[in-house]
Amino acid sequence: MTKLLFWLLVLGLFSAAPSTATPLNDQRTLQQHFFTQFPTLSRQDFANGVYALDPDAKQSWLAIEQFPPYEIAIDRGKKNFFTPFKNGQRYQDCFVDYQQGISQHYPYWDLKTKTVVTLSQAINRCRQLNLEAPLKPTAGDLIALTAYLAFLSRDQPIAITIPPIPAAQAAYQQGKDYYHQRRGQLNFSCASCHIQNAGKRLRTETLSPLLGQQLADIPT
Amino acid sequence: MSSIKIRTKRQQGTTQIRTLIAHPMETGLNTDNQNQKTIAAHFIQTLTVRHNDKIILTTDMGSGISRNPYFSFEMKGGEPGDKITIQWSDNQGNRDTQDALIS
Ligand code: HEC
Repeated sequence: MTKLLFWLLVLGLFSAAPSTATPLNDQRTLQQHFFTQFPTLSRQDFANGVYALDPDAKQSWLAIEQFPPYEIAIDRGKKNFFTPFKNGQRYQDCFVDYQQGISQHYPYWDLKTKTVVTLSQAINRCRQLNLEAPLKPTAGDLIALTAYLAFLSRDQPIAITIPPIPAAQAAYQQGKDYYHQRRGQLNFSCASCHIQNAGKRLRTETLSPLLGQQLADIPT
Repeated sequence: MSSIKIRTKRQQGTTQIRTLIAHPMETGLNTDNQNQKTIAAHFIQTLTVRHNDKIILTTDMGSGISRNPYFSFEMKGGEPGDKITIQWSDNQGNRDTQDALIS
């Protein structure tokens, strides 16, 4: 379930439009909605999430960027990425294009297995192909590997296409429904905060708009 | 790979020294949710900063500092090529040290 959600998050393709809407139509509707709501932001600005809206948050972020604490995780991911498996193969043999950045293409619809594949799953497939045990989704090693690969894709636009086949479109719809489904004690949906109330404040936090959100592999 | 990253930046008459240290900084009060056992206390106790081998700063640290701690200091003076050395030791007897040259 969540993997579908991630796929949709990456795409940023939600709206309250009727279910006949295609992903591309949804995307346009949603972009139009946010471009109208935040006329001073450029298209690229949305990729900075809440930092595009909140100048104080942006200042702290830029200060942190001068010596980012995530370097430790990226170093760890890089080290793992180049450590050979027992059979002598490495991750780079599975992900030959890694240098150009690959995480912007995840998750994707795999025509062969007819499932949505996230970057974490692709990493585990690579491991299994090489007779290594899969890593747990919450394992630090897997998170570090995805952090390293995501870092190599920095500033690259998300590049995902949903093939026009019913199963893939259904997966998209499932993720969209999930995003709009109210749940929990406060009966909020993701959309309540990130579409209907984007830009407003929730205690000390500014709510980021859905457009631009792309935490493809973070378990929620 | 060293656990210590150092960045320096010369300003007017001073040098900013920043360091990021990879360390778990366990308080001894946390539980491992895999096996429900208490995680042993594991934290940096002393951090020393040297400028051209002369100690300019020593700190006594406790468990109340977060994991992978980050510190920033301001030092008077500092010339290009001067050596900054940062060293830590923890309550389990581990230690690490790293040099950086002011650019
Ligand atoms: C009660 C309000 C609320 C709800 C409901 C909510 N979020 Fe959030 N979300 C936040 C806040 C606050 C933040 C942190 C500030 C920000 O980036 O918006 C956040 C951050 C995020 C981010 C990180 C944004 C970034 O740019 O780093 C993502 C992704 C996200 N939420 C996705 C979701 C998804 C998916 C759901 C539904 C499963 C959801 N949120 C439901 C309030 C909410």
